[in-house]
Order: sequence, then structure tokens, then C-alpha cells
Amino acid sequence: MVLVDRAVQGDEQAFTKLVQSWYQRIFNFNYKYFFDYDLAMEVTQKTFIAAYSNIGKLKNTNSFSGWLYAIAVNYCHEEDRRHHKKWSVSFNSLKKKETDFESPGLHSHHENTYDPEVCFQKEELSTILMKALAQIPAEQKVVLIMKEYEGLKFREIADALRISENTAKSRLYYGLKALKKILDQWKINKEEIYYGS
Amino acid sequence: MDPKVSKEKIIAYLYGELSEEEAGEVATYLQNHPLEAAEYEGLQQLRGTLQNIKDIEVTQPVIMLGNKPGSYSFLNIFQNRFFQKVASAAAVFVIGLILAKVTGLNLTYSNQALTIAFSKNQVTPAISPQNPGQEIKTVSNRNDSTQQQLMEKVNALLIRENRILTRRLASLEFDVKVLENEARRPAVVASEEIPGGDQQDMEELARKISEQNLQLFSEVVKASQVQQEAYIKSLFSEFAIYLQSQRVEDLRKIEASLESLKQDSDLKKLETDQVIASLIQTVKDKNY
Repeated sequence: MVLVDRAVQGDEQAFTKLVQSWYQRIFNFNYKYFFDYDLAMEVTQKTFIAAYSNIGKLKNTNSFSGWLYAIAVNYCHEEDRRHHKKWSVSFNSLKKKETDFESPGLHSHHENTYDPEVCFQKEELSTILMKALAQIPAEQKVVLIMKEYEGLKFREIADALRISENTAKSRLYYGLKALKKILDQWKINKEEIYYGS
Repeated sequence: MDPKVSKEKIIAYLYGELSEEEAGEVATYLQNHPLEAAEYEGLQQLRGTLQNIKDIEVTQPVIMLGNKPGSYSFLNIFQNRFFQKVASAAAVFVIGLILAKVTGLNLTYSNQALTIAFSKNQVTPAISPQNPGQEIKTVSNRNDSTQQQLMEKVNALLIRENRILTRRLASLEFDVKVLENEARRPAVVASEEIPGGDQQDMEELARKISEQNLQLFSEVVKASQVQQEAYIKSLFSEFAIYLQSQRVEDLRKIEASLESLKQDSDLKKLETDQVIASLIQTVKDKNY
């Protein structure tokens, strides 16, 4: 945390090194959130600009990672709100195009005509999972990405999102269940996963 | 009967964030509850599945850190939008001046007409002052004349011609006087050389000679005027041709410049299309 301390004191070289260390991680966090390269890049840049402007206000340097993720999450939510209509249209068209993918909890008994073999021929498993991830509620998605891909402790997630640990765990539980339901609906089972990987 | 284990604990167990005691408690619970155990196994499999999402390698942008917002620096002036706009306008003006200098751009406005010419040198048509009848011999390929310049040249030539005509007129007047003197002299000689001659006849003869001389002088003047008028007409005609040729040359050069600009524009458009296609391809590659 020496680097963070120096950055807090106004050392620009230290901040530059922090950016170099964290850029990739924050970008991938945003990319998993949006499943959109340009938007993820834009939000990542905004995150670091905000971090640069506000790092002097960071009191507890040990919580730098949580603080940085909190900024990223705020920008993600902001972009979500800004592009609400756009995203809605986009997902609707996606659903139509991909033979009626359904959000979890809604019309769960809908007859599914999705053919996973065709999908596997067209897209990589990673892309399918990203599309599934994009369909779960934002607050669950954030916790899931932070835990599963960023490897944060529940305490860190709770601090970053300003929620209790139990709330973080609960969101993750429901997020995983929702994701599993989507994948089950799409008939992405164990065999396909091994095939895909 | 085991007490129900909360979903929060199951999740913490799934991610290994329970103490040994709590973990043992959850493990025992799952052994005794096959439905919950199946659900737990499903979540474990899902975690394995999620590992298939691959991270994207991204090129970090060049980091250029400036001063913190609010802090003052002389360099801040370069970030001032007004300064940037003024500097841009000044740069465009300077570039325009340089281009005008390089291309020899010549802009003139006269007689409610804007003339654009591209020329470096101004060439004066070659007219011999010694021989005003000699027309313009050489005309440079360079466009040297705007309409105003041509008018000035025409005026200069007219002034020169006026001087020449004035000199000729003076010369003719002198000739007339000489003729008059000559006309008078025979009468005197006759009166002196022919003593006893008829004075009245002699006077009559002198008068006739004088009338003939005057008539002759009048004819000479008329002929001279006709000749001068013809010369001036031919001169104007030559200038009209010259002016026309200059205009044609100007138009040709403007057309050539426009063609060149069009070619440059097409080339830029092609390059832009290629760059956009390349970017789209890059984005597609990164997305897949």
C-alpha cells in the first residue's frame, strides 16, 4: 500500500503505476458488467479520471481496491441509467434474435426453442456466459463479478457497495441461482461446458 | 434434526469463507439433506462454468497526468477553451497565408468583380515604345493581369499614343506652315521676276495655289486621322484577344487546381474508409 500512500500524497508517478496495475482488472470488471467493449473502455477511463481527482480524499489506503471498485460500480449504474432505453431495446432484440431467451423469474415455463448445438457452432462458450450474465439484475451481477472474477472477500464487497455482508451473500446466492436457471433454460449443461472448455 | 442452514452460510461455504467449525456444520447439514446438497452441487458446477468467461486483453491508454483541478499553472492557459479556439483560428490564418504565398494566390476586387488568380510573377506585355504599331509580341504563360491591371496598361498605351499623335500633329502643322510659305513665295518671285506682269493674275494664281495647299493639307490630316483610328482599333482588338487568352488561362488553371483538390479529397475519403474498416475489423476481432 506504499504506492497508494504516495498517490494519496499527490505523487503522480505512483498514481500512474496504480493505473497500470489496475487498468486491466477494472476494464474486465466493466466489460463483464456491460458486455460491450467501447462502453467498458469509456467507463474505465471515467473511473480512473474520477480516482485521480479524488484520491486525495481517500482516508483508509487499505481500502483502495474497494474504493476503486465502488467508483467503477457507480459509473456502471450511471451508464445503465443513461442507456436504459437503449439497453432495453438491445436486450429485447437479442432475445428475439436468439429465439426468446427469458429473464429468470419471468415466464419460467416458457417453451424454449433454443438449440445449444447451433449456438455452440456460432459462438464461444464465453460469449454465451456473458450474455447470460447480462440478463441477471444489476445488483446481483455486480456482487457476482466482484466475488467470482475479482476475488474480493464478502467484507470488501460489502464495504465497496455499502451494504451488509449478509446482503452481499444473499445477492450472490440469488444471482447464481438466476444464472443457473438461465443456463438450464438454454440447455447449457455439464457436457456442453466441458465440450466448450 | 439439524437446524436449517441459511443461504448466506451456504454461499460462504461455497467460497470457503467459513471457519472450520462452521464449515463442518454446513457439510454435515448437506450430507443429511440431499435436496440442498444437489442445489449446492449445481452451484459448484456453475462456478466451474463461470470460469470459462475469458478476460480481454486491453491496451492501456497513454497516461498524461496534469495538475490537479483547481491548482494554478501557467500551462493551464493551454487547456483554456477560448485560448484553444483563438490559437486554432490563428493557426488556420497563418496556414492560409503560407498557402497563398506558395500558390501565388492573387485576390483582387475591382468594378464589383472578385478576381482569383494563381500566379507568382507578373509579366508585362512587350511593347516597343519606339514602334507603337508593333503589337504585343510575347505573352507570358503566367497570368499577370487582372482586369484592373489590363485597364492600367491600356490607359498607359493610350497616353503614349496621344503623345505620339500630338507630336505628329505638331509635325503636320509645321508642314502646313512650310507649304503656306512655299505657296506664297512663287507669287513674290513672279511679281519680282516678271516685271510688268499682270499683278491681278499673279494674285489669282497665288490664291489658287494656297487653296490647293489647304485642300492637300486637309486630305493629309484626314488620312492621318483614319490611319490613327484604324491603329487604335487594332490595338484594342489585340488587347481584347490578349484579355480573353488570359481569362482562358486562368480558368484552365483553376480547373486544374479544382481537379487536384478533388483527387486529394477522393484519396482522403478512401483512406478514411480504409481506417474505419480497419477499426471495425479490430473491434470485431476484440469482441470475438
